[in-house]
Amino acid sequence: MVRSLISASLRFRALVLTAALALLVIGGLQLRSADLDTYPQFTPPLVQIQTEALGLSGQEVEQLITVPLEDQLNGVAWLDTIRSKSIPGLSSIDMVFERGTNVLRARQLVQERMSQLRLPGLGATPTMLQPTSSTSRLLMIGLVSKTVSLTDLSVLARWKIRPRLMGVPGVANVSIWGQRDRRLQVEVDPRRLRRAGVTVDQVMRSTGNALWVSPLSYIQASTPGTGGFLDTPTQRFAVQHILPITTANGLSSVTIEGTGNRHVRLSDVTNVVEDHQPLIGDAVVNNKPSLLLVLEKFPDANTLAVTKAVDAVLDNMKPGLSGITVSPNLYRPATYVSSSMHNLMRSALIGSVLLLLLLTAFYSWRVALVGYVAIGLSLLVAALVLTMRGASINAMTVAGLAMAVGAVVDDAVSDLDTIARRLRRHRSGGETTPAAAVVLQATLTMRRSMLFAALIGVLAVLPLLSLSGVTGSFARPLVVSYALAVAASMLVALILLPALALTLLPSARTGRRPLPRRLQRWYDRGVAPYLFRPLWAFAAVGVLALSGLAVTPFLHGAALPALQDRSLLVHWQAAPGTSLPEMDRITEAAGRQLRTVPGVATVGAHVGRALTSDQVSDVDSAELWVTLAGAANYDRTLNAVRRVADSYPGIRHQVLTYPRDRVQAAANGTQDDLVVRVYGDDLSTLQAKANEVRRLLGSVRGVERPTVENTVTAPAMEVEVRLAAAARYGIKPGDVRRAAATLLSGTLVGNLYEQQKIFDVVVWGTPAVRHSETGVENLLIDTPSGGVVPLHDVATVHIRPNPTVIRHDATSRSLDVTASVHGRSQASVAADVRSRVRALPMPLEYHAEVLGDAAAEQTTHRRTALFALAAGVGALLLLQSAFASWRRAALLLVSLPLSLVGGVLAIAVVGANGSLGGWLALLAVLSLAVRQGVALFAAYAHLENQPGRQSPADIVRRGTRARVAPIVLSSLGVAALFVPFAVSGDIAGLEILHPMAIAVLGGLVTSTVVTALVLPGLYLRLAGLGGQTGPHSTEQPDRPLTTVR
Amino acid sequence: MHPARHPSRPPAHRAMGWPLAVLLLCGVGAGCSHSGEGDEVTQKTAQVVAVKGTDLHRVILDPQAVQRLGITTQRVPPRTASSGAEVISFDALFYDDNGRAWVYTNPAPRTYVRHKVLVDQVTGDRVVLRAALPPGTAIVTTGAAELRGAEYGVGAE
Repeated sequence: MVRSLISASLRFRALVLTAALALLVIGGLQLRSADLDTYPQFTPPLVQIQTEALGLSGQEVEQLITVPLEDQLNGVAWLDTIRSKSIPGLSSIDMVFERGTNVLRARQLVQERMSQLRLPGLGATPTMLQPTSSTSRLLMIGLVSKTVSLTDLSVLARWKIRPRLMGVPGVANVSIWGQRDRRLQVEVDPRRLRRAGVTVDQVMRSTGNALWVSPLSYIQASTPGTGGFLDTPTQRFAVQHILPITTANGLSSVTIEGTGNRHVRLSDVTNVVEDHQPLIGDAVVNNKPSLLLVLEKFPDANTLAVTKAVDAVLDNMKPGLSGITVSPNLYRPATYVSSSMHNLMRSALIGSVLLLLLLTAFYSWRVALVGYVAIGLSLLVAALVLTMRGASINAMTVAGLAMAVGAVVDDAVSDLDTIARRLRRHRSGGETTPAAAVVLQATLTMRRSMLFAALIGVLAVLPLLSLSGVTGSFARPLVVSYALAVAASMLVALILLPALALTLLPSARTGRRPLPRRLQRWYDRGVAPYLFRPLWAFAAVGVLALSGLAVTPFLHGAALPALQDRSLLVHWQAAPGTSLPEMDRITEAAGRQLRTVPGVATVGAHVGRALTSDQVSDVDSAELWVTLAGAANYDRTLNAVRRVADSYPGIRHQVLTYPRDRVQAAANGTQDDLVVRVYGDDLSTLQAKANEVRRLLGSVRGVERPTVENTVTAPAMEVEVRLAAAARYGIKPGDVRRAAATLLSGTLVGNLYEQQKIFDVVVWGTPAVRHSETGVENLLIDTPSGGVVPLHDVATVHIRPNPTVIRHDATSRSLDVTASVHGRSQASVAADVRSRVRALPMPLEYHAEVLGDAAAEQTTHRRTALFALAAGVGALLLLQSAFASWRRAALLLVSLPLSLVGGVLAIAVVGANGSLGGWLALLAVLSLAVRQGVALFAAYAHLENQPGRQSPADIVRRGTRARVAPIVLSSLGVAALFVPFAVSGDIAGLEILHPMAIAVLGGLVTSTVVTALVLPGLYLRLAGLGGQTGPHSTEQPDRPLTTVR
Repeated sequence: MHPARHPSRPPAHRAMGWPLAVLLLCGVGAGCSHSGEGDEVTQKTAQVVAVKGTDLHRVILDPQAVQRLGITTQRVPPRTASSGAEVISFDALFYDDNGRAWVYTNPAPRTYVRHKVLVDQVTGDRVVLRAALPPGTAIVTTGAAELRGAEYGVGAE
């Protein structure tokens, strides 16, 4: 079958060549619009539901919103976990689905559940957030103006800019930090009202009824009625009412209901002002209070294309934004992505030029061209298939392609070497067989093992696919792109290479370049005589093994490298309960300080959160986004930024990059060895139970440092009505709440409509009334008898600690007790703890669970190790069937780690940051080393099977000499491609490839040495030659070597 | 004769070393959640020393930290017979988790200690205290929140 495939491609080579050319061109064009990203999607399918309830405390959010929602949503199909956070004013529920779930279907099911839900009339609507990518932030735009007020800027942003930006394909969400919604406020002071003999209720009714529509169901404005239309005999007229109230002035002249002939107006007893809603967050850009728009993208959006589209939209809007400075440079991942691409392309181009030169030096320019096209097409096809499957080109897929370079280069080079040699022989020998037959035979002998090779290739990378979690999401694209590249190079070698070779090579002039011949001569004279001294091979083995072992303590595990991203993110967390003005002050101060650091271009900060944003935090938490100038020294500036952040005591901070932040958030929770989660309702009981569990854990052998999770609390004012006192005045607890709500939180009484914008009208207390504990205690509550009573007469105001964030896991409050495990296996400790915890007495509705995460991690590791072992055994079996000898198979397998010693040494040199690249390099070198070793052994086997008397030493010498040129050439070819990456330094886009290149170069040195210089000697000694050669198996004295080409 | 190309090319040119895969996965598994960049820090420029016999602490800041946090202080005016009740600025007041009111005093340069106060009432931006502070005490009017974070530590939320 393979034969017919190759001969068909030879026969129709014009077609094949045209198709290849078309593929090159189309593929190149297609790849230009490919989705480029930093990291692959590493978050599981997620549906987020946020419910805003401005003014509700955290516990009330939990009771009134989160609990009913969770109850309704729990148990949806394919749901893995349901987690929630309830903070003052916001309920956020994360529903994590099993990997592989179709997000759209999941969303549909969740929507169905949500539509069946009715929340109590708080005016809160649960919103399902748009699906976003793992590193969701696409762009951050600052809006600053000296002439336009922040409120007007907010109106512009909300009603004009945001809708336009949301219309850009690829933009999932635009959230506005610092949004100040213009609204009319009727500010009441109960004492002033009392003096005028007016109640708060009267003010609310009058204000509401002055407008067209009101949400207050008990006043007349709740049914606005329509203008109607009238028919005259000839015409129909629509009747429309124009609201004369558009500003505070208009509203202040409204008379208050129930004041009879006194005609008391709103302005007589209240302050009617234009202001904005209480803020849940704020933004500071370049030292000025401003607006910050954060754009998030869909999971399959192309960062570069969408950023360009957004830029175009902003450009179009510019004429209408005079006086406003738009800064779209606060965070632009597109810059990093495009500079990564640029660096990658540049180094790849230089590498390919080097490869071309190398091939030309070894053979001829024609051979070089054929090889170049083959290698390039293989990689292109792999990348094309990836993009067609919808995956993005990211750091992992590029690393996978780089790993496959060894196999791809060797495929092309070995085939070309064989074809070129046979064609030359065919030409000089004047044989009559057509050149096509020669090419066919040459390719067949190389490719007959194609099926086996593909099997082993798949087998080899399978273990990595069994990794789970965030690690698995990173490993999968790596494996897929590697496998695709290897498969593509196989196809190219079968289909394209023979056709190209037949077209270009036969007409070449005879005569071989001196280089390979010189190599062989050097090998004959300089190396071969020493090769067969018995000590040499074993000494070499010893040296390599010892140096490899010596370096092992210095090796680091593979960790994602720090990105050379010119945008930094500074987490900024103040003491819980810190107010917004204070947070604004300290964030602005820090931002100002950061801008003085040389090398920092822009600083934008946002405090707290915004509507439908990705931050679920209160105003005591902020983020500063620092962009470095293009020419600034990265490390020096980063350290300077860190020093500035460190100089602020009392603030918890962390300086990192945004992709790293997202990976950290996704991987969180799987870091502890042992986690016992205590579920229950009451926080103090939970705390007590958790402490019991901690004591229990301390008594289990192997468990170290059990700690109860910290619950962060902040002081909150709790108002509790004293029923007896209230009853004396005829007041009910609900009355107190509603009265206080209007004065402290504000009540929406109506809306103003103006040119397609809608503004709120609220009745609120004056700032003096609502600014301290005293103010709360002195609030006047209207009594049914028409009098007033201060709040402290009917209720008590305590300040008590409230948790700042209430977390639920699986719909229940929980508290974690974590510990590390030493000295025993995690599984046995987990089993032990599980049995003991079950025996622990728990009050009703409380229970404790040993989380499966840690044990599951271990199972995964064990499973992956088993897979790897199976792969190794499979490889051994296949090698054995290929060589028909266990000894030879084992010899090759054992020599592989020795080939990698150079790479291992390089890993120790590149340090922790380059460890991932280093380990991947070992895989790249390994694939090459195995191919070269197997080809070498096959050459020996072929010589053995030939008739004629040959000594084992002779066989080995001749076989090695025949293979030395291709071995050296393919090693040099891989080196040529990697040299530009090694030389480039740690720059954007090459964080993995740069250490990988260094390790590959180191590994290539040792692997070439082992394959060409050590293996022959070992083979001679150990592979059981002698007595097994052809029909005349007698020992021969060493003969002078015949000339070889 | 020279060795011609071999008919039975063995298949295993991509055999993976299983030791390698194991090493790789262990490394990758351990590494992906490890943060090499910027681990979280709460303070490097402040010292917190417990005051013996109380649960108070002395928070001692570096000179640069004082300037960065923008800490401002105000001296309590000396009491006279006709001063009336003690009045301090509202900016200086803060409450702990259990509702007790505190201010930060500044007894020594760059040293800050909490001091309990009893609030009578708050009017506008003035706080009327029930018990007077020692005359001449300097109290912190800007930066009390950060000092609180430095003293208690800011937990991860």
